[in-house]
Parts: sequence; C-alpha cells; structure tokens
Amino acid sequence: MKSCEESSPESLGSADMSNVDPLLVETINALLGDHCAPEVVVAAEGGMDVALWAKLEDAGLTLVGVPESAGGSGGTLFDVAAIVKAAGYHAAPVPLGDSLVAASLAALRGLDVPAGPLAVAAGPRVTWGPVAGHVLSGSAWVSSTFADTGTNYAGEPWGVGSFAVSETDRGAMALNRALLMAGGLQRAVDLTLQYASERSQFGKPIGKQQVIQHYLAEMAGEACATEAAADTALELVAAGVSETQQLQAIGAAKAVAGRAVGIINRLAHQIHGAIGFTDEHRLQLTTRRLWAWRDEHGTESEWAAFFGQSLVAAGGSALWPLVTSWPPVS
Amino acid sequence: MARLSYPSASLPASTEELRLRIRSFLADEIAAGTFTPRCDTWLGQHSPEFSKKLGANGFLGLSWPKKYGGHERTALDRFVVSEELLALGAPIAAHWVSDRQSGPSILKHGNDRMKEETVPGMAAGEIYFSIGMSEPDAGSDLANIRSTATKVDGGWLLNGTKVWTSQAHKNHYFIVLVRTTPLSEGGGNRHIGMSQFVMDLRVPGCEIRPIRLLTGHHHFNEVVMTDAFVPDYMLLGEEGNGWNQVIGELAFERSGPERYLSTYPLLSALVDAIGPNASNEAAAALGTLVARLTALRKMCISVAVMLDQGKAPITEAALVKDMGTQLEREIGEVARQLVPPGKSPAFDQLVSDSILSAPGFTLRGGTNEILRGIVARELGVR
Repeated sequence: MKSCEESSPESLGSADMSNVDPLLVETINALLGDHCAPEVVVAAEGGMDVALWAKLEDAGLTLVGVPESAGGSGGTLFDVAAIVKAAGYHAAPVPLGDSLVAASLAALRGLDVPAGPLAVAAGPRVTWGPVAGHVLSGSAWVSSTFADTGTNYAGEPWGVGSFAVSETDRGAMALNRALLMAGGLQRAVDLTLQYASERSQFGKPIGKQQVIQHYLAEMAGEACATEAAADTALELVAAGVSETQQLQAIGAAKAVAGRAVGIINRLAHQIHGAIGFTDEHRLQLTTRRLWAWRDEHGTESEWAAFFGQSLVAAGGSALWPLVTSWPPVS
Repeated sequence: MARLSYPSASLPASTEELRLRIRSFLADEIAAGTFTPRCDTWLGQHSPEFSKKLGANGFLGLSWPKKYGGHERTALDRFVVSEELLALGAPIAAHWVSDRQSGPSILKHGNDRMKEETVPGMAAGEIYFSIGMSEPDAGSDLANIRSTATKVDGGWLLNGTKVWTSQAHKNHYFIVLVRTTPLSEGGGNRHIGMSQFVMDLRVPGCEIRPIRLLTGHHHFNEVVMTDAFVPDYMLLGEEGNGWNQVIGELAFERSGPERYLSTYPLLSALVDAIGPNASNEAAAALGTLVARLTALRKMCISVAVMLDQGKAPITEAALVKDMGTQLEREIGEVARQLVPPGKSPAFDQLVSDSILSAPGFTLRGGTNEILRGIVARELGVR
C-alpha cells in the first residue's frame, strides 16, 4: 500500500485557476502528502493530529483567507478552496477546512480571529466542535461546551449544542463539504486507477477488463463534475451574487457531490475487492470521510429539494437565465 | 498518474451581447409562431426557412472568415448561440452539421474552389451537409468501412453504402469517408488509405433510401453510391489522410452543448408542470437534474475554451458526452414519473419526444461504451 503515498498530489485543477498561487497549491499538497500516512491518519481519529495542526499553523496555512491587516495570511476564496480540496484529497486529520471557514467569516464580520483550531455552528451538530478552541456562532465566538459529543464515520469529532445559526453559515459549511468531497473523490479515483493497474487476475491487470474501464470512466466523470459544481458555487460567491443565488449554487454543488460519493465509493470498493474495506488499506480512509461529509451540513436530497423548490418558485422561464449565469462570465 | 481535468473556465463577457441578440430573435420568432419548442430538434427538425433566417441575421458561421461569409468571432460565440437555440427547441437540423463540423473541416482541409462553392452557402444557412461515416459493417468500428473511391479522369468514382445518414434526402452534400487504397495494401494498419470527399447528394449514381425511426419519423437514410462521380477538387484534404481528418471532425461533433441539452425544453416545462406547490421529493428530483446540468455545462465550457485555444480535448469531450447524453435520457424518465400523461398536449409532446428519441442519445456520434473506452485509454488502463 506504500506506493499510494507516492502518487503525486497534483492541483485538482485549481492551479489552472489563474488567481490561485501555484506555490500555495504545491506547499499544501507537499505538507499534507508528507504527513498523512495511513497510520498517522488512523491514530488521530477520535480527535485531531496536533502535530500536523502545528505544522500548518507555522506555515501560515490556517489563516489563509484572513486579511493580513487582521493578522491573517491574506489570500482569496479560491486560495482557501485549494487548501480545502487538498485537505479532502489527503484525508487530513485536522479541522483545517472548518477552521478556515470560521476564520474567514469571523474576519468578514470584524471579529478578532483567535489562535488554534476553530469551528462554525452551522446546525445543532458542530463538526470538529470538541477539538476547536472557539466556535463561531453568528457574529460571536462562543465557548465550545456541548451537551453531547461523538464522531462521524471517519472519527472526526462533533458536538451538539444550542447555537444561533445563520443560513449564510450553513451555506458556507455545505460548500466547504462539497470542496472536501471534490478532493476526496479525486483521491478515490486515483487510488482505484492505481489498484486496477497493479492488481492482476486471469493473467492481466484487472484494468484491462472492459467493465472495469467503464467503471473508472464513470468515476472520473463524477469526480470532475463535483469539482465543476463546487467551483461554480465558489465563483458565484466570489462574484458577490445575491445570497439566494449563492445558496442555490451551493445546494447544487452539495447535491452533485453527495450523489457522486454514492457512485464513486461503491465502484471504488467494488474494484478494490475485499482488501479495500479492510482497515489496513488506504482507500477506506477516503471512503469513510466521503460517506461522512455527504451527510454533514445537509444531504444531497435535502439540498436538491431546497434547490428544486427555489426553481419551481421562480418558474420555468427563469430557469435558462439561471443556468446561463452559472458560472458568471469573466 | 493520469487524471482527467477540466480547467476552470467561464465564457467571456464579450459573448453577452450576442446572447441577448439571439435570445430576442428567438423570442420574436416564437411570438410570431415560426416554431413551437420541441425536444431533440438538432437532428430531427429540419427547416430551411428557419436556417436561412439564422444565416441572414448573422448567427451562422460565427467563427469563420468574413471572406467566406463568416463573422470572424470565436468558437465561444458559437457555443452561446448553439445553446440558446437548443434550449428553446428551435428547428435547427438543416444547418446543424454544416455549421458544427462540415464548415470547419472544409475551412481547415479544403481547397479554395471547394471553400468558395460551399462555405458562403453554409454561412447563409442555404447549403446543408450530412455526415457520411457509418456503414452496414462499420458502426462503432469505423475503420472497417468498405466504400471505395477509384481514380478516373477528372475525378473519382465512389462505390459503397453509407447508413444512418441523417437528412441526406433534404441536404445538399455529405462529407463521405471511403477507402482510396485497398485495405490489403495498408500493411495491417486499417487507418491507412482512407480519404474524405465532399459529395453532391443529387449526383447520378447516388440513391437515397429512407430508414424510418420507431416513431415513423424520417431523418435517417441509407445512401447507396454506384459509380457516383466526384470531381477532383472535391477531395477534402489529403488523399490517404481521411482517418486523421475524421478524428479531428469528431472533436467538434462530440464536444457541444447538444450532448446535454437535447431534452432541455422538457426540463424547462417540467418546472412549471410540477409548479410552486411541488413536494420535496419532486423538487429534489428536479433539483438534482438541474444541478447535474449546470456542472456538465461548466465542464463543456472548459472543453470549448480548450478547443478555442487550439487544444484537442478529445477525451474530455468524450466524457462530457457520455455523462450528458445519460442526463438527457434521465430528464425524460424523471418528467414522465412526476407528471402523469394528460397534463397538457404540449407537455405530453415534449415527454413523448424525449422518451422515443432517447435510444439515439447514447448512440449517435459514438456510443457511450466507445466513449468510455477513450477515457480509459487516457487514464492508462487500456
């Protein structure tokens, strides 16, 4: 399984987005790629990897998206997204994505950004809440005390509490999960492609079987569609369209991502055979996270229903103008 | 490790003026009763009148040289006009193939005389082309074609049979792929020795027989060539280079928005048919379709931008076509379950268009199985 670590952590398309610094993409992927060996990821489950967090903090990567004037590292929404996709790709056992969202939102609201991992209250269940020093609840930092705690399928902790929650924050976290899934789905495709090329049965790599080739093509398509949907939402948020339209695009992205997880995880495990769902194989680190993320901050059907209701409310004649304004023209 | 990627791309703001122009043109045409929106119009709804109007209003040959009646705009401008025409279900089958691939192919490979005779007419929406690739024994396996061209004084004599030739009975020409060197002389390489010709479909020796669809509709034909004469200057490109030229043509054929918008008029009608009191289940089904459509459109724009930059995103186009044609079919499947028959004759017509045309979506322009094979090769497993 060691060879999986050597697959190059490429940019997941974001390097092509002219406004992301390629050096940032390279740095985050190198740092996470070096650190996130399977045994390290497994050992951190139930909590977080404190050593990894310290490395990320030292590199200034936990405060990207927060203006330098507010004590952050600067950078755009697209820079933040590139980091979140990388965290998803590498199954990073730290609340990097959630913390980046919390920090950016807090800075936008004129709050000081405290040190250490942060979380966002975007529903009754606060993902990563128990390991975060502070929880952003609307326009205030609140202490992280929870009535109940637990972990998701991937051992990522959550806490349940009674917090004020805004639609904006729910949307921001749903987009964050779509971006994590875009990264994780690409990893599942990469791992499966590698396995299909290496595993031989009937005297040849299983990837030579036409049915496996067709599964791989389907998986690649769903991963690309997820990234396209998440990028579309991101571009609309960055373009400052109305909050309604931002939430529509985020809902669409979460719907595409959640659906893709169902398809890709099923096929990835089917192609890997029994080894893929043992604890010794790298694949399950990714698939467990994907199963968790598709449920967090709204399932695909919840968001699809939200999106669909907004479409029927606007009427058929409004559909094409909406479709053609995504992504916004450049 | 091999990986497919769609560089994040969007349409330039310069396309907006054209979008508004075609949108208003189409609104006027619908108001005037020129056409009723239908599904799958780019292959089945042939209207020379409408194509001529598009040509006269400057909507065809958008990226072609002005010298040949074009407008010297970009392929992205054509993308915008195409998607507006498809979304409104306009009758565009007459000019579709000539504007999409025959014109570009002739401009790239053709000689001056051929260009002068065909391209301005295509840009005006007056000359229409069909595709002459498939044969009875060469469907997915296109290299298995048997049709031949034999050199004679002043031209070539073409013999053989082409099938699934949409609109050959109404169109003026087809670009036909034939063998100019016998298979036996290719040294085992089946891709050697093929050439493309621009053949007049009304020439003696060309017999066009209808092949009716399961609806009874006639757009498919069998084209039988028996010593059909094609003059020398209608050899397209280089003799023997036909295979490479065809592959280039397929990049245009497979990359467009018609590969996910064939049933868009039904999707749009579905929004109103389920209405503002929709159940969450119905809304979710609709929301999922539109979410997937917008993701595919973003990928398709990425492909269009790559094509515009002179790249050859053949694999990326194949994958979008695979996913898009499945979505086109699903739109019909979802609509028929959410809105039972009898809602309105217009809606029923769109559902019927979608269900009965659906088998073609995932076959035409390369079956989805062939497309996935192309993707697998790019991924390095094939």
